[in-house]
This record gives sequence, C-alpha cells and structure tokens, in this order.
Amino acid sequence: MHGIHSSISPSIAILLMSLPAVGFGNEAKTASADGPSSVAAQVSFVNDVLPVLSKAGCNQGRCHASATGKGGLHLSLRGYAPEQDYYALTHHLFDRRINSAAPDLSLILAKPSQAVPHQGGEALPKESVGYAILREWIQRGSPPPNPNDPQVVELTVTPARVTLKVGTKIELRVKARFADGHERDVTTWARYDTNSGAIITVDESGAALARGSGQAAVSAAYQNLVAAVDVTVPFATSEETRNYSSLPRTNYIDDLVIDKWEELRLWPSAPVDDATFLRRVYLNVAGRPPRPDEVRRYTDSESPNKRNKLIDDLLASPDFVDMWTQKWGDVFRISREWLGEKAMWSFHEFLHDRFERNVRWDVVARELIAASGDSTQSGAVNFYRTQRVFNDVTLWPLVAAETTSQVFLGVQITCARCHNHPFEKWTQDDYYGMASFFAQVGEKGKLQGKSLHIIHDRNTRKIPHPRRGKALPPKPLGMPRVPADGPTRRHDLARWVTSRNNPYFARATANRVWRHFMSSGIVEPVDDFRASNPPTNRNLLEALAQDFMDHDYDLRHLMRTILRSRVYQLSASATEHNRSDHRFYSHYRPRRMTAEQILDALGDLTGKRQRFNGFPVGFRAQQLPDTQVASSFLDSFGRPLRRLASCECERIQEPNLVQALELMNSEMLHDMVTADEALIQRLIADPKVGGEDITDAQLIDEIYLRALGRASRFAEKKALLAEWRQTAADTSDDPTQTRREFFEDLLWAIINSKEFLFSF
Amino acid sequence: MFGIGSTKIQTCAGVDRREFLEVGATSLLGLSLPNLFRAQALGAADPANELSCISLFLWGGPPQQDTWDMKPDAPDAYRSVYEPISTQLPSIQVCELMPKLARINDLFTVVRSATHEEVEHPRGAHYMMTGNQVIRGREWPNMGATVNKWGVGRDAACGSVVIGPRLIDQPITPRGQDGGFLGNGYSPLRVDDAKKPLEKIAAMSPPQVVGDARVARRQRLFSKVSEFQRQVESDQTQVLDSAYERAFKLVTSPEAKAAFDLSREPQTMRDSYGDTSFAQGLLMARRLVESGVRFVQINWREHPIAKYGFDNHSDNFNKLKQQQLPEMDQALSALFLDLKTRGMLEKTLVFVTGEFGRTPKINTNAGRDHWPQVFSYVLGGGPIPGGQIIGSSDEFAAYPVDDPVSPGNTVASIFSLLGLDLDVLHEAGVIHETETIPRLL
Repeated sequence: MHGIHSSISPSIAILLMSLPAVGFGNEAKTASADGPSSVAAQVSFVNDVLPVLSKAGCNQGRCHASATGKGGLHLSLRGYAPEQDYYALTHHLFDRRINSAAPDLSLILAKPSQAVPHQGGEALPKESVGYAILREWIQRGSPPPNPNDPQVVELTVTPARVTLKVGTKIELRVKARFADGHERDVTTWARYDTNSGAIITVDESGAALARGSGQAAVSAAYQNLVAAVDVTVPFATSEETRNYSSLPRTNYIDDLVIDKWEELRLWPSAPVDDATFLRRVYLNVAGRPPRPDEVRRYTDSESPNKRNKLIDDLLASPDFVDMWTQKWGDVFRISREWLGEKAMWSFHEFLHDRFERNVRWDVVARELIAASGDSTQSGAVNFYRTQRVFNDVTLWPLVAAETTSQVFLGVQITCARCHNHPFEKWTQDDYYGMASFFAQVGEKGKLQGKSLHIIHDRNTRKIPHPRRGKALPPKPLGMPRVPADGPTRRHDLARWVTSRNNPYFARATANRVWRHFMSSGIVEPVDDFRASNPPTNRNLLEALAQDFMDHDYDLRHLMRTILRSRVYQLSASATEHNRSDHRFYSHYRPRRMTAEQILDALGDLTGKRQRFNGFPVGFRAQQLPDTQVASSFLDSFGRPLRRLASCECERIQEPNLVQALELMNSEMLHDMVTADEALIQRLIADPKVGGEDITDAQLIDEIYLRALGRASRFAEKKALLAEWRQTAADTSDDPTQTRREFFEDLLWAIINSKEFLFSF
Repeated sequence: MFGIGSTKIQTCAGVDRREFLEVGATSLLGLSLPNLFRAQALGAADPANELSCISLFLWGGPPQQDTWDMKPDAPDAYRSVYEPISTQLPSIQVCELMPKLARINDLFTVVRSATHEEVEHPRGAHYMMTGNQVIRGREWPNMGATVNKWGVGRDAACGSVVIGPRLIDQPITPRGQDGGFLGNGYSPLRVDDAKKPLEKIAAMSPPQVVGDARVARRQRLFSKVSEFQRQVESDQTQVLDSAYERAFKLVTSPEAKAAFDLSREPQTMRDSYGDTSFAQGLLMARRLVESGVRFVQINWREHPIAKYGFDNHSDNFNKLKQQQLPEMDQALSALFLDLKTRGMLEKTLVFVTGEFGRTPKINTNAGRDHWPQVFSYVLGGGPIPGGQIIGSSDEFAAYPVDDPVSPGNTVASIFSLLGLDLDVLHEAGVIHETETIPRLL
C-alpha cells in the first residue's frame, strides 16, 4: 500500500483499500463485496478522519495544534481530544468548514488542497487517499466520534528488530489491532521518527535508511500508540572474524556487553593499567583522587586480588557515603531555599544515614514516597516539601506525581499534564490517575522558613481531569488499579512502585547506578524511559535490574558487580575502530570531576583547604548539605542550584570557557599554589616532606605523584627539566625565588591539565 | 588548532578581525564548543542571518498609559498626570517625559496590545524572557540561552550576555534568566555591572601579582604537560582543549577584552547614554553586538528612589519623572541613534519590555498595581519598519482591542528574525507558540 496516496486517483477502490474493516472485523475484500456505501457509512471520526489529519500534519504543535491554533482552527495535539476536534471542525466558523452538499467546498478540504489559499501549503492533495476519506466522511453527514467504534489497542511494527549495513534501506509495516480483535495495516497512516538521525533516517512512508554505525530506534505512532523498531548498524565494515569468546569475563555484565559487541562487530580497547585504574576508581567511588600514601600502598601490593580489595574498601569508606548523599541531594533538590535550614539538615542526614547503613533502596523509596510528619524530625517528608509550589497549592499533587515518576520510575509524564504526550503513550488519564495518589497530601504550619511544617494525608482535595472535569481514581502508570488497603493512598503507591511486578523501579535505579560508573546510561537520559528511546542493551539492563532485585535492592552489591567487571576496567584509549562508540562501552569515557570534587582535590593537593562560611575547618565541599553555600568557584564549575526538575541534569560536567578562566585567573587558586604554607614551598623548605636537599627531579616526581597519582614518565621529566634549566639560565632574578615560582607554575599547569581534572 | 606554545603567543595581539570575533565573541561569551557542534548539526539557524538582538528588561513593569499608550481622554482616576506630546509621526503621541524618544520614533515600532495572564513578577518575567508560562518542574531557557544553543552556528558566531543585576522578587528569583532545561551550560554570560572596571569582569584577568612573564611561562608549561597527556582523548577532553585555547587568547589578547572595555569609548559617547549602570550597560551591549555577540539582555537596575524597578505601587508619577523615564529616554534614544549612525540598526533588533503593565486606575497611594491584561513594548531595528503602532487598547488602556499579542508571539517573532527555525525550536519544546506578531514586517 506504499505510496498509494500519491499515485492513484481517488477512486472508490482506493477508499476501500484504505478504509477497510473498521467496524467490520474483516479485511478489505469483505468491504468491497458489500459495496461502497456500506463502507462509507462506517467512516469513523477517530479511526479514519483523525489519522488522516495526523498524517497530513494538521494537528502538529506547530500547525493547528499550537497553543492558539492557526488561522482560527485549533485542534488537539495529534488528535488526543476527538470531541474537541470534532466540535472545532464542524461547529466553529458558522459551519463553513464542512459543506455536506458540496464536500469539495468544505474548508477542511479546500484549504489543505490549496483550492483556497492555505498558509500550511498543500498538505492534502486532491488526489490523495486522505482527501478521499475526508470527503467521504463529509458526504455521509460528518458523523461525530462514536463511542462504539472499536478502540485501537495494540500497534506492531515489523520487523521488530533489524540489522542493516550502512547505506541499505528497509520498508517498515505497521499494524494496528482494535478492541474488537480485527487488525488493520496502518503503514500509510503512521507517523515515523527516529532517536538518532546520524544512524538511521525514516521517511513518511516508513522507509528507513541506515546512515551510520550504532544502534537506534525508529518509532511509529498511530493515534495514541507508539511502537519502535530496534535498528542495529554494525561498526566493522569487513566481515573479518573476531573471536569474541576469547575475551576475558568476570561476570554476567561482561557476557552481555560482549554479546552486544559481537552483534555490532565492535572490538574493545585494552584493559586499563593499574595506576590509571587506581585514580579512576577513587574518583568514581570515593569522589577524590588517591593520596600519595594510598598510591604507594596500592602500587607496592602484590596481591592478585588488589583491585577487588580496593573496590570493597572504597565502597565502605565515608567518602563514598558523602558522594552519594550529594548526588541524590541534587535529585531530591535538598536546599535551604525551599526547606529552611533545619529541615534541610534533616533531609540531608536522612539520606546520609541510609547510604551509610546501606539500607535497601526499595525501603528508602517507600520511606520517601509515603513519608509524613514533622519536616525537621523526619527528613524524608521533605521530599514532598520540595514539590510544593510556592503560592499554588493546587499544583502540589501534580508536581509530586511528576517527580515520583521521574525519580523512581525513570519516566517523564509532565507533558501529559496539559495534553497527551506527543511522543509517548502517556495520556492525560495516566497522568491524573497518578496524581490522584497524592490528592490526600496536606500540610500544617508555614512552608517558608524554619517554623514547624508537617505533612499529612488528611486532605480531601479533588484533582479534576482538565477534559473530563472530574477526578480519576488512583491508578499507577500504565498498570491496572492497585488495591487500596494501605493506611494512605501514598502507601498503596509506595508498595506498587517497589514491588517486583513493577517493571520500572529496578531498571531505572540500575540504569542510574550504571551511568554513574560508565558515563552513559543504557537508557539516556536516565529519567526518560520510553518506547521511542529504547535501551542500548536490553539484556544488560534486565540482568542488572534482576540482580539488583535478587540481592534485596542492595546498591553496593550492584556497584561492586559493575566495578569488578572487565568492561568497567577497560582503558580509556579508544582505538581507531571503536573511537566513534559512545554508547556500547568498548572503552572507558573520561569524565570531569564535579565542582565539589575539584575544590576538595585542590585543597588536598596544595594543603590550602577552603573554609566554608558557617562550617567547621576541614569540612569538605562534597559534604555540603546543599548548594547555597557561597562559592564562585563551585558555581563556575557547574554546581547545580537545585532549583529545576528533580534530576542530575542541572549539574554541568562539561568543561567550558568560564571554568578555564576561573582556573587560570582566580585569586583563590593562585593563593593555593603560591602561599608560603602551600605545597611547593613546603616541599622546598620542610625537611619532613622534602627540604633543602630536594632535587629538581624529585620535585617533579612529588608533584606528579600528588596531583596525578603516578610517577612522571621519563620523557615528561626530561622535557620539564630542560624547561627549568632554560628558565634558570635566562633569568637574572634571585635563583631561589625563580625556582620556587617555576615549580609553582608547573603545579598550576598540572592542575589545569586534563589528567588532573578528568578520570581516565 | 591554536598553539599555546611560545612561538605563537606573539600573534595574539595581532589577531585579524575574524579570529578576533571568534575569540571575542563566541568563546568569550561562555560558549563551549559542543554548543557550536550541536548548532551546526541541527541546522536550526539560518547561516546567512546576521541579526543580533539587544533586549532591555524593564523590571517591575512600566505603566503603559504613562509611556507609550497615553489616554488623555480617560477620567481623572485613570489618566496620567503627564501630557502626551507629538512625535516625529503625526498620528502618534507619547508621554512628555520621553522627548528624546519622541523625536526618533520613526526608528522603532510600538506594540500597544501586548497581553498575558501572569500578575506576579517572577511568572510574568519568565513569560516575557522565554515566551512560555512557568510550569513548575520545567524552566524554559532565557532567549539568550536558546540563541547560545541554536543561534551561533554561523561564521564568527557568538553567544549571549546578560548585563545588570539578577532579577529577584524576594524570596523568589524569577526563572527564565538562565539555561532552563537546556542546562546552565547555555546560560548567557553575566556581567553584573557595566560600570565595574574591566579586570573585575568575568574573571578575564589573572591576579595582578602574576606578571606577563609568568602568564607566558604558565602557558608554556601547560602546553608541555598537556603534550604528554594527548594519548587519551574523548569528546569531553577535546572540549577542554578548546576552552583553554580560547581562555588563553582572552587573557593574553587585549583585543578580545576590548568588547567589554567602555573606557575605549570617547567620553562624549559615554555621556550621551547617561552615567547610570543601566545606560552604560546599553553602551556595552552595543560594543558586544559590534564584535559579534548575538543576544544581549540588559536588566533595569533598582534605584534609591525606586527600589523595585518600575514596580510603582506608590508615588508612580514622581518616580517616573524623577528617575525612570528620563534615564530610559536618554539611554534608549542614545542607543538607537548610535546604532543608526554606525549603520548597525539594520542588523540589530532592539526589544524593550517589562514583565507586564500597570493598572488603569490610580490607587490610593498614587501608584498603579500589576496589570498584564494589556501593556506596551518597543521593538525595532533589523527589517522591522519604524514608526508603526501595532495593536491598540481600550479607552482605559485596560484590555487589547486590536491584534492582541502574546509573549509567545513576541518571542517567536524575535527568534524568527534572528533566523532560528521555529519548527525546530517547537519540536525541542523551547517554544509553544510559532505564530508571530501580526503585521510586524
């Protein structure tokens, strides 16, 4: 049926082909036998007319579904509100849009066929099938949406997965199944999209063309359903044989990642060396580089098991707890700005305590979702307080539903607050069903400031669905209703969120943890799970989620498994062959330290630690309970304000010019490098760490060891010594002072270098 | 790749215009490389478009009926105490407190039918600075951030700058001033006060004690140290390279800093704008646009007699006369004339708005309260014909009569004039509205 709408005249035969079956339960042939009039009598507003409008693009956001419509016609986005659209088409504008006596004069035909000027161009040519369908519908008296029309219940795209070579094409077929059991080919009426145009593109007939290596999804949307095809385009161009079974493996992660490499003909980089691994794992698990004594201890150890031992030690360290508390503090937007100081501390301490005791993550999630009580006593209730919209309490349950979905389920439903999600299956019904779980949430006391603020479940608020006008009963996203037998609706929800039957919770959490160590999520962004954004390695995501559930939602167990895998322990050096891979873990992806980590690392390295206003000496940036403590350095390096959505996305870890300027020009860093009590002067003057006798070569070694966790390489040392000799020869200044300044500048240069700022 | 090594440093002082624009604008203005890549990849910007935009944000919300939309026949309880005066155009009158602007109103268009529903400062400001209403959990990007992401893919590209204080309505800081959901990597670079000395701006200079010789040695050592680290590269580490190249250029090249350096302007030019931070911010905006920056927003500053900007809940008429309108009249007319004289007006949009207007009726404190139902703003430059009035309000300046214009229409018009593809922006969720201002062009 491809291309039919552009090549064949609007004969009844085509109408029969494109309008088969609705209401009949049979295929086009049956309809044909019954004759045209009986077909036309069945033209369904929802199943025939709206798909034509959707496919022609009439109800896109930039056309008649924009906030105010276009040219006086306002349709719902992708036809999610059929009643409203029917009314707009038939009752507005003194019925001029529809003329059943002379259908071709109807504006809804005359405009898109350009018989009358149309700003949107020729969206529906007169010869098209879509035109014929609309015409037929008008001729039959433009029947309204009929509640008895079978609803579309399932969409299938074939093939469901496909492997293509670059430059090859495939034509997709899309089938819709209706509530009455009949199926219909909707290839012509589906709308197509892809999540990566660099890998695959798709045209409006459903023909997809592979353009680059990797994996992508092509999605097809019909009415409010979406289905996706996984497309794999292998990396290796030749059919060279690789022996994937020869690759070393530690656990299931390696097996599943290697399977994916084999599918993509992707070959990994070499394993990482010990010194690089040491710094990487310190940064990723403890959030700080190793100290010199830790480097020496690790380097001196000859235990074959020393990597595993190190992983376990770091997972048990207090630094680990600080880092994860800060990370989730971003997600939960812990801030005195919303909470007041006392409640901020109580929320911070709640999280810190749970990570310190390694409390099961499902238990923590239940504590947060069902929390009630005094915000200064029970830290968890502040999860709700941060959802409370200043000045508008009616938004509270809505924001709570959105945040809970995003944080714990990895699903974004915000769009559905105002209209059905344009690219995903979530409807306003899903949204308001979810919001209904939070209808009982209420408060006592003042929101702002330090005074008592209590969260309870005694509210009797109703949250009306904007189109239906009435409140919906609580219902979890995309699932049947759950028993209402907990003490509050939020308890019912908490139990469902963390139940093993919930497909989202364990996957979303496992994906977040995976991303922390591997730089990119299996689903990316981590809080945007949807059919049109599929995981890059489904089996791996399933296995991680399963393992997480089977081990009692133990975060440290999950982390240990990831850290021990060979995949985590690959080198960051990409090969010519795998350089373009950013999503399949064939090499480690270097990542910049967070703002707080850089500041702490600078303090540790130079010995000049920053003191934060209102905090004791020695308090580390990574331990700060919120991000309101003044520091222009932390702001420049992307510390989030924790004001936006509940995600980690507000934190910037990309280097940029402002950061480079801050490191180059800040008085603070200059002082850290050049103060009398800072590293260089200590090395030169203090016999305990170096002293007068310290040689130039030893100074270089000390600086490298302390800043980068490794010895300087022969060539590096040689080049730097030559540079120093040149400097010494060129100057007539005091040699002692020149030497000090030279090595201060060397330390400055290393601090500014990639190897210091990034984990490799 | 620009060398940081000793042989190339000398060339920094002699960068040609193109290179300077790249440094002085693109990079300097807080734009990291991936933004550029993304802009090119998305192809959302028209590469031939040369327009920039200067946006004046009149925080507090100026009164429409005491400025651009006088209602001399309204009853006493509504009418401005000031008289309308004739302008360059026979059919248009404006408030007598803006005589300079009245003489040049053939250079810009006034929209008298701007309208929205947000009565609070933070929500109104978000609406006008982003074109979208606030929805909690989602903060839209400032126009400058959108320009940073999508509008800088052309040659001699540049980002955006905000000059002036952060807008705050205690305890709330209005959203829409930063990168929003695009991330703060796209936020405009911030210059909090145009009157501050250059070395205090954007950390552009190393500490005084580090002399030129030491800066040069640091560069040399940085380059040496980095040489040995090049074996391992990734997209992220390459971004760092580019940031440092640009940072070194900025620190060592006087030309790059010059865009911010108001001391290079003749005193007569500085005086023509006026001596206030706001006025000098306009002058800086002109210099930045001249060196390639595409979007500059200047925030109105609070003043001892009008602490909350134009938020004249009391004593409206004295505040307007003693400070607000004279300051704006001088600075804005100077900007238009300066742009005109330099031949820059055809390439520079000028947008002047507050977050809303003020109540038709004068309150018991001789003030006017918040009123978003109708207000006026100025939009000129670029291809926009001057001397137009778009839309109209009723006899009390209370509701639009013709051509109501929403913040969404306004922002869509500006993006469209800057050559951004509204469809791409719409798909990305940056704008909800793609309908532009009627009859603007």
